[in-house]
This record gives sequence, structure tokens and C-alpha cells, in this order.
Amino acid sequence: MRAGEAKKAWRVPRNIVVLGIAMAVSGCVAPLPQAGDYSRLNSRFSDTEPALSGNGRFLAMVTNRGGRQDLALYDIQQQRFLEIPRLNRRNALVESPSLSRSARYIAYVVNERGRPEIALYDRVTQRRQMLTNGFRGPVRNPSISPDGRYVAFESGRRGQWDIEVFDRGASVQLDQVGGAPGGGIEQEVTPNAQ
Amino acid sequence: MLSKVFELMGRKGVLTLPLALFFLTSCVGPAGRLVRYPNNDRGGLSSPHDDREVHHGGRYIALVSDRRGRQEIELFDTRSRNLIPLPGLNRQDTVVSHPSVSADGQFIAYGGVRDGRSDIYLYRRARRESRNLTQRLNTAVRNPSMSERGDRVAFEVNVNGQWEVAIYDQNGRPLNIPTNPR
Repeated sequence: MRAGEAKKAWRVPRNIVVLGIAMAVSGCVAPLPQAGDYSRLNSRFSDTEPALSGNGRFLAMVTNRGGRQDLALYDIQQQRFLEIPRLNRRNALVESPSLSRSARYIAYVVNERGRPEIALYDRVTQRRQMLTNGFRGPVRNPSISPDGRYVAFESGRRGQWDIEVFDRGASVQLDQVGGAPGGGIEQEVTPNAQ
Repeated sequence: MLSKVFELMGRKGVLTLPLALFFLTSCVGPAGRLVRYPNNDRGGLSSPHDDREVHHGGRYIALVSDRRGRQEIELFDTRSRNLIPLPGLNRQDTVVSHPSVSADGQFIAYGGVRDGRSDIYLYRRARRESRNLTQRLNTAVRNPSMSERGDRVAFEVNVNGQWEVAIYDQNGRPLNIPTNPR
């Protein structure tokens, strides 16, 4: 009787432990409060890696004004910074931002577990997707196409840097707002033979 | 209520696996694939040499490549799947880097180091020449980023020993924004 009770008492915590591990591993953790002086474009601290959106209205950058390295998004027209909830995370190093046409999508490099990965943040859903999990070799310097469908980046899996282009697929929501003439092209896409 | 949930999880582990999968998959990347572009020394996007600092401008992709034996900016047309010549851009006396191409492929902003000076240049294909956007700035500059129309260029500038972000127009004039270096 007692042994049976003891077994039942342990089963619950174990499942919670599994869940807890899953939650921790998933990285979907609490938002980081944004410290630092965001009243002006430049700060007393280093502000680097500017990336203009295709329409020229928005600017992403890497800033140290919050006492840590963060990505920030600046609206040039309104001369103020915008919120990017859940992009900057407590234990993650972020850098190398790139914006789509109206800054709907932000491609950037994030390093949480020791390997820099390329991530894609959607400002509409406020969620991020990891693009290079499982990629062989190092990756860096993402550049997202203005329509947001393609992400070019450097890949080092052949022992040197090569340019690769990731196609997010034809069903992604394209960033067409305020598109410039000559934007929006048909791309020929052939399946990767790997 | 919560204790009932725990009881259910505990009794059959019913909810645990789906919930765990939910948390794990909610951050997983999309099912995409790599586009297969030509990879060769002649006109490929990538080559057997170092290719880096890529900028995806939509139809055109700009990059820095060592395939011609020196560090040069190349422009790849995704429609014709070939390189576009850039007469007057790459020069013997300039180290070029970090290109940014407009949507129509007519303008390329890039960083250049010449005679010990670093500057941000705006190359115009039709004119076969580059304009120095930072001529009046006697300080280190680097890493330009250009808008689709080629009318705006942001870059880093050394202000009092620290990198700051500058936003200029295509004529080399800083936008009227507080703390914009000029």
C-alpha cells in the first residue's frame, strides 16, 4: 500500500520535470525588460551594424545602451524606437540584423548555446523561427530579401565562406507594403539535391 | 483545477507528451530549402574561393568575392543567373567591402579604403563611377546599408572613439535627426 502510494507521488513530479525541461529547451521564456536610453538614435554606448529596411523608413542596429548587446529597431520617420518583444533574450547574444521591405521581418544571428544561428523574427506574430538548426558548419551575416521570402547568408561548411540562399517557401506572407518599383520578382527555385 | 491537471498528467502522462511537443515545436524553424544557384569561378553566385558579405537586394545579390584573385564586389542577377559587370567599381587602389545593392541593380553602396582613408561610396552603374558620400567626414566609416531605391544609406562612423550609426541621403547629406553624426 505504502509502496503504491509512493509510486503515485513520484509520477506527477517526473512529468512536470519533463515539461519543465521542454519549456527551458524551447527558449520561449519571459520577455526581457528594455533598459537603456532609447530617446535618441545614438547613445553614449556603441551603436553598430545598421540595416535599413527596403523602403528606407526603418533602421535596425546592434546597441549596447542597455548594458548588454541588443537589437533595436528605429522608425526614422517618427524618430523613435519601436518595440520588438521577445527578440532580445536574457541568455542570448544577438547581432547582424537585416530587415525586409517594411521591417516586417528581421533576420539576425543569435547565439544561445554556443553556436551562432540565423533566426527570423516576424513583427506581426512577434515570434521567431530558427533557420539554421541542424545546418552543417558555421553560418553568419544573414541578408533577407525585401519581400522577406529569401535569406542569403554565409556558410562555412566547405571550410571557406560560401553564399547560400534559404527559400522560406512560396506560402510565406511577403512584405509588399510600400514596395519600390522593380521589387517583387519571380524567382526560379530548384530543389536542393542534398 | 491545477491539481486535476497534474493528476491527469500523473495518471496516464496523457498531456505531458503533447504539451512538451508543443513547447519544443513552437520555436522550430520553417520547412524551407536552399536555392540552388551556380557555384563556379566564372559567373556563379558562390565559387571555390571566399565569398562573403552578401546583400540580398531582391532580383540582384551583391557580395564580396576573392575569385578573381583580389577582394572585389560582384553583382549576381538571379534572373539571368549570372554576374553583372561593374566597370569602374573595383579599383586597384581601393579595398572594397560590405556592398548593398538597390532593387533595380543600378546603385551599390560600399565601403572603400584608399590612401589610408575609409569612405562610403555610392556606385552608379549607368555612370560607371562612384560618389564619395563621406568626403567631409574625416573619421573612420564602415558597413553601409542602403534602401531599395538607393536614396538612403546608413553606416557606422567613429565618433570620439566609439561607433555610432549615421543615416545619409544619396548626395552625402545627413538626415536631420538628433545625434545623427555630421
